[in-house]
Amino acid sequence: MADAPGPTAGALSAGKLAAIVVALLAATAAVGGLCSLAGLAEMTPQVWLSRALRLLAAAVVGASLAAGGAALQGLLRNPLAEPYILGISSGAGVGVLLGLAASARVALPLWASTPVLAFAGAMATCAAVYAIAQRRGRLDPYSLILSGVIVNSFNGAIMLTIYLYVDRYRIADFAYWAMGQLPDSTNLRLLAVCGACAVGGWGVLLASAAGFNVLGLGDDVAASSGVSVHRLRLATFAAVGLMTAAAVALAGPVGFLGLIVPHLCRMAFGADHRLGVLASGFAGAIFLMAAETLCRTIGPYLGAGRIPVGIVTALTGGPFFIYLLRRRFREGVE
Amino acid sequence: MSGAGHVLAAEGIAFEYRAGQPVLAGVSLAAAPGRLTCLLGPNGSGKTTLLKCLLGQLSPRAGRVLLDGRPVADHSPRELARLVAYVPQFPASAFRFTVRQIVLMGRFAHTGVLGLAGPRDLAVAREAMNMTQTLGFADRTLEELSGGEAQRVMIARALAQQPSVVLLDEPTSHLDIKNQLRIYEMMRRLAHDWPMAVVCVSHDVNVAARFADDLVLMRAGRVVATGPPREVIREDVLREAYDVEIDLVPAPPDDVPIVRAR
Amino acid sequence: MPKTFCIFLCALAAAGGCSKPARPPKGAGPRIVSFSPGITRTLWDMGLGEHVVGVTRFCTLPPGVERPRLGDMLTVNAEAILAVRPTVLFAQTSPSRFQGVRDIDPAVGVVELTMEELKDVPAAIERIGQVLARPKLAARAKAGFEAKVAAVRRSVAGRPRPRVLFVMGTDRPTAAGPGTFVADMIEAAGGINAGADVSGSTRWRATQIEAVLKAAPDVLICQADPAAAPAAGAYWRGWRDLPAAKAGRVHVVTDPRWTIPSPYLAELLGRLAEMIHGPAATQPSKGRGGDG
Repeated sequence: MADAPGPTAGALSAGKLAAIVVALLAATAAVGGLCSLAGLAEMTPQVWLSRALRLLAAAVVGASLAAGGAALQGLLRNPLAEPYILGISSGAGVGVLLGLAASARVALPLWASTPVLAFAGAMATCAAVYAIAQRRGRLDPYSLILSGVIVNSFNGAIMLTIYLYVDRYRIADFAYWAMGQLPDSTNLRLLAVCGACAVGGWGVLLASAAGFNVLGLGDDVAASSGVSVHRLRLATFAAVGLMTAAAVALAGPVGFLGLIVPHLCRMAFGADHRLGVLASGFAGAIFLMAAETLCRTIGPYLGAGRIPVGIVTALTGGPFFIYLLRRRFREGVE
Repeated sequence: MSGAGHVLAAEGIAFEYRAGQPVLAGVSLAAAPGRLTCLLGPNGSGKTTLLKCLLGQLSPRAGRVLLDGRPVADHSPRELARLVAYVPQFPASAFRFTVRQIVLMGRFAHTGVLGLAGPRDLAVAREAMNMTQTLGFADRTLEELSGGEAQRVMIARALAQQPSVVLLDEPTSHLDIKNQLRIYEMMRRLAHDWPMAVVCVSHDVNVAARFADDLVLMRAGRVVATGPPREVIREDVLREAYDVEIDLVPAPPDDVPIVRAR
Repeated sequence: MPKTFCIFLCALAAAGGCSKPARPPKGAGPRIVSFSPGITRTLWDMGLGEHVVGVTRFCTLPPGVERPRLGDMLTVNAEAILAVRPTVLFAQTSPSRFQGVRDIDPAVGVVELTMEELKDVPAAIERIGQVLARPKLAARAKAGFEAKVAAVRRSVAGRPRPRVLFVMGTDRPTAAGPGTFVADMIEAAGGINAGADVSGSTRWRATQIEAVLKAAPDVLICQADPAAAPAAGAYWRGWRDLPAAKAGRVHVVTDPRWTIPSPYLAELLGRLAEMIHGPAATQPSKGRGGDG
């Protein structure tokens, strides 16, 4: 699969792990602090609070998507896996688009805001993917990926159909949501709920990370080493689904994070998934906070009010993958 | 068959992947600590399926597998891992771990949630690598090793589980003569010196006969013969099992004759 | 790895330092931000242009006038808006979109104005006057608008009503359906909006040539960019089955203000009446009939 053993080629001890956690926490806090100082408006407490909340939301989204991506790449033994293959982002899109279409005719209740619709659509799609892929309550990697692809295309078709009935003004709105952007004003309750989902899910993934390592030796070997393979798959699927739904509710489908960041962390920390899931979470938070700050500050200079943060992640994603691919050719890895 | 002293015993195992096409039709087998048992038989005789039933990964339609007298299904995966270890036919790792990391994965059932390695775990891993002569490449990855070396690493990983039984599935099918001999020697040494029960599915009658303490010969899902090599390596027995005419070539004194197909 | 990270931190810090624009001057009077092209034009038509301190990037301004471009309604950036220190913000959308602005500075007023139908224009004028405490100015502007509209209505009263269709573009055009201000203008100028017979459920309808043919308008007006205008005219006149093409009553307009709701629509109404009923319909108009 991926890259060099890394600096922790030896055993991972509690002390080493603690040191790494502290370092990552410090780095994230440093980046967050610096980002909150950058911007156009005069610095007042309200301005700083508004930025800090949005950066916190960016951290939650970044951590959820990146840690989820790292977990899926381990669980499915596939370097191209990332949370959206489970169909979650397209499901959220269907939820939001349905809401937009309905709101043109009837007034929606107050709680049916875009984030809630996105979350509901995401979880519904998760359930659908599971229902299609499962066999006697168990998941296997191949059918999971296939089920995700099927549900994704189906959702895409539904969205195209809905476009016919929504006027183009609202479609433009949806198009911006679909690029992935952090809203200007952060809803505290939403942030709290999504943050809790993200942290809870991340905990489950960290507890499963040792299992991902052993899974790399094959299902048979892993099972005989004491890994409950089926339970691991279910727990990971549920955790990643929840975390991704939370991320999409906060910021829409921000792309490429779940794919790029785990690869970067693997290059820095090695293949060990315990470090991978941990570092990816922090790195994802840092990445998205920086991207959000970039979008916020340079947007006005480019004429747009702000650039959707998903554009920055997508623009860095493409070149990164070209680089990865060329590197694999050089190394001769299949 | 499943008396005291047998750490792993199978009684009347029947299994079929598809209804009406039985792969195992009443197989019984016992493995005692201190002995190397080899499973022999033509392709499709159900050897690998039997191994999976012994591991608890397949549920037999009839019969049961007992570990230390208790049915396999009664053990949790972690408990099972502390008793039985498995070595696959082809050593492979989807991720680029070092040999040390791979061997430490054998400690999964003994460590906590994050699988953090304590001093005891490191000591056991070191011992396992010592016994398999893999300590020299502890910091290299599987891809850098030859087939024989990689297979020894997988055996070390299995040993790190500190099991009472090790099950191997055709461990030398892709190795050259020298490595084949080395691995069988190692298996016999482990069985005798650790001591543990080693059960190995073999594809090569001669190598198995030379090193095993017990042979189990299967055909079409049944056990055709079982016992020490001298009793099993006989023309009539082998002809029935492999459906081919056999010549037995005498080997140096005290050794089992060499089997040659006509 | 740590070295890369430190460089990254320094870059962030530099970005923070560099991203402060010059502070705009303080002055008396309201500081208005307009988040819709229609509202922007309405403000200028009412004579309030000097108080406007920020517009969207899609807003068109009178020639020679410049204002800071603050993005658009879909990409609201609270800090960019606050950088021009507004006192009130007008938009054609729900105020919740600007919650980020109000989080930081609750004193900024956010007012939603609807500008979909023709009658929304005088209503918007009145509301603007109310918000800015300039009732007399608003009343004058509103009266002027309504008088012009009434004058056109009078001049076409009693004439036969042809079917009129207003489209934007040629291939896959957008038609003005019922509920748009263009539909109201057609009705006021003595026509029947053929857009009501173009299938669709939205106000501005994405449609195709077959639906246009089915709607069979007697007069077809197409809005296009100045560069594309000759080709657009040729395109529509080429459809021989179209009643409007057969009768030679295809008009191409290039003024973007045809689809920006503002008091100027009352001026355009006169030209519309000429296109529908012929040049003698209203008082002698400036320029050639039909293209403006």
